[in-house]
Amino acid sequence: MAIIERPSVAQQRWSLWRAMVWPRRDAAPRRAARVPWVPITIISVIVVMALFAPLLAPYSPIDQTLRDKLLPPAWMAGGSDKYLLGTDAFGRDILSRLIYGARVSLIVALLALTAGGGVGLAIGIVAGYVGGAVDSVLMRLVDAAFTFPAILFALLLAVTMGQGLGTLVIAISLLLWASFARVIRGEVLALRQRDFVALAKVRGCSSLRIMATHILPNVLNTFMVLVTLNIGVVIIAEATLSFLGAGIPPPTPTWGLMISEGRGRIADAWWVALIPGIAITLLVLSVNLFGDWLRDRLDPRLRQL
Amino acid sequence: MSDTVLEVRDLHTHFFLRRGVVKAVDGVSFSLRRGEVLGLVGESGCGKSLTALSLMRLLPKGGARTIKGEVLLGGENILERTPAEMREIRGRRISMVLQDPQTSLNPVFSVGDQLREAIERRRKGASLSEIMKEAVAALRRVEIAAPEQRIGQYPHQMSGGMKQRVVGAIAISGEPEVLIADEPTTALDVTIQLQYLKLLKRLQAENGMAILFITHDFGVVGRMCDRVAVMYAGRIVECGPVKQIFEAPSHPYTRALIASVPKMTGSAGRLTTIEGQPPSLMDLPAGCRFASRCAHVEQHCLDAYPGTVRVGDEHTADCWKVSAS
Repeated sequence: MAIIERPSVAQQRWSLWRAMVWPRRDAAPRRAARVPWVPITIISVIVVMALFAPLLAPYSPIDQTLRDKLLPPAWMAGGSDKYLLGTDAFGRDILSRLIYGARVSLIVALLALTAGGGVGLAIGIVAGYVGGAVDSVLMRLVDAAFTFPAILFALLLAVTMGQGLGTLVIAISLLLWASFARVIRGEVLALRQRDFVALAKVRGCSSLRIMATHILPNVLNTFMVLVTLNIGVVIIAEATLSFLGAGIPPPTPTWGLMISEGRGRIADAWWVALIPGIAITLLVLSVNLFGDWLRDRLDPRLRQL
Repeated sequence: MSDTVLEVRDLHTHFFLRRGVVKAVDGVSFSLRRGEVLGLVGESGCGKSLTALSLMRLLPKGGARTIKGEVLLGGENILERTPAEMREIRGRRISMVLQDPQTSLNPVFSVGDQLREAIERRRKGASLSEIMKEAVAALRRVEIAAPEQRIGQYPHQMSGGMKQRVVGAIAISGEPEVLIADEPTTALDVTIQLQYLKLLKRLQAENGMAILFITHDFGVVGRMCDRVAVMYAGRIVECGPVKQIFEAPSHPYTRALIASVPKMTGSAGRLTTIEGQPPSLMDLPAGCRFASRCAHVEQHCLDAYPGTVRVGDEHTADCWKVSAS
């Protein structure tokens, strides 16, 4: 017979206190995942930074002060109180560039997800609902899009269309739409079999109406989760392309461009490249954690319980 | 007959697959009168549901086609209508209730919104408050308590029986002449089944629609139907008034089916079953389709399909062994 130790009164009291001060996952009901407050805070801070960049940034992000070039962050030896996160090779304030750079990252994410995600959503619904030859053709297109080296394609676009926000958004949209289309199509295939779709036909609804009013709202949850999970992908793609010189042309600050500019001096002025790198890591990680939580929250299997 | 609302003549709906042709509906004829409930019974896979879908012209994807026959709704053949004209007919002249209430409603819309979609079509240009008033009335008609509150609720907040009643309310909101009920009570609790059947009966009495009631439950047939059509391997083998079919079934298959229904009286012995399997719908025999399982089989049963024999007033059977009255 196994010996089960009963927790002492003191132990019980302690765990009660601990649960009140620091609620743990196993203390909460199984299904309710904890709200990810830390990621939400980080995302909010970055969004606020982007929205109010002109008010928050201490300096202009593009004005050069060559006298103050390559100053380390304020807390290091040789750092100046004037530049909290130091300056880059042109004497530009890194904090200001970081704040303005958040704008570019978020605008690109917003536009690319609207364009790429929207196209993917539409194609996924049509392919899944109409089926047959239409489905086959569209899904082969998706397969083709997956085989394409996206970075190469973006570089090609940058060369032919010229650098800029438009090129960047198009390139990233082309990278995104296929994965959206594939996931949404799968969802629609299952929805199409449900009786409410058959009964909508019985009621005399046209295919277009069924897709727009019956299928679309049912895949919006999945779509929202896909969007959040892909924000990280977009930000990294933007940084990569800017790093490679196919993104927003300098001197506009973007996080990827900042890393690229600091790359050559990583040995003596590491902060120029590392600080935007940390910013990207924090934002992408936060967005992904938030996306994971959202996915669990909106999981239809849990919702039906 | 003048009060016939739906007449089906020699309907053939086959699946054209790479492996061959599945003759799922192979020469079905019946008629449905105003205010009548016709039961369509038969075992799984005999073509009951496909017959219903053929009437709505909503065949499943993957090679199903209606290749022959007529479906006369109010005298006009709806198999010749265009898809756009069919959309006008569906919901207003023919409507349908399906088996599973759990998936019959869209989970992301409130019940009111789903009713509204159906009502809006019939009453173009009506104001939202008028339509919602009508939606509440529709819920009340299907005996949902406190319809004003229920109308804002979502399907997951309702029980199966309640959902099926909402599905019914949506189906009849277009005031159809014909309602096809494809095993509407199969997924419901036994206690709720009877309630639902009574409700259907009452609604039918109110607006005089005809119901094609598909089921495999003879008990339900006895309660609901005026006439029964027994289907076997893609054809209707016997059709007649409920009372006659129960008391004097002519076709050996009908007899075997009725014999296999458990009785409430007598000893609880082994249930009677029908030995064997129905023939493959890809490879149908030349003769009677029930011949291989029939206790009274003779040589000519195997050679040719029997014609339809009138065995009584409105009572027909496809069998060599019955004689015309």
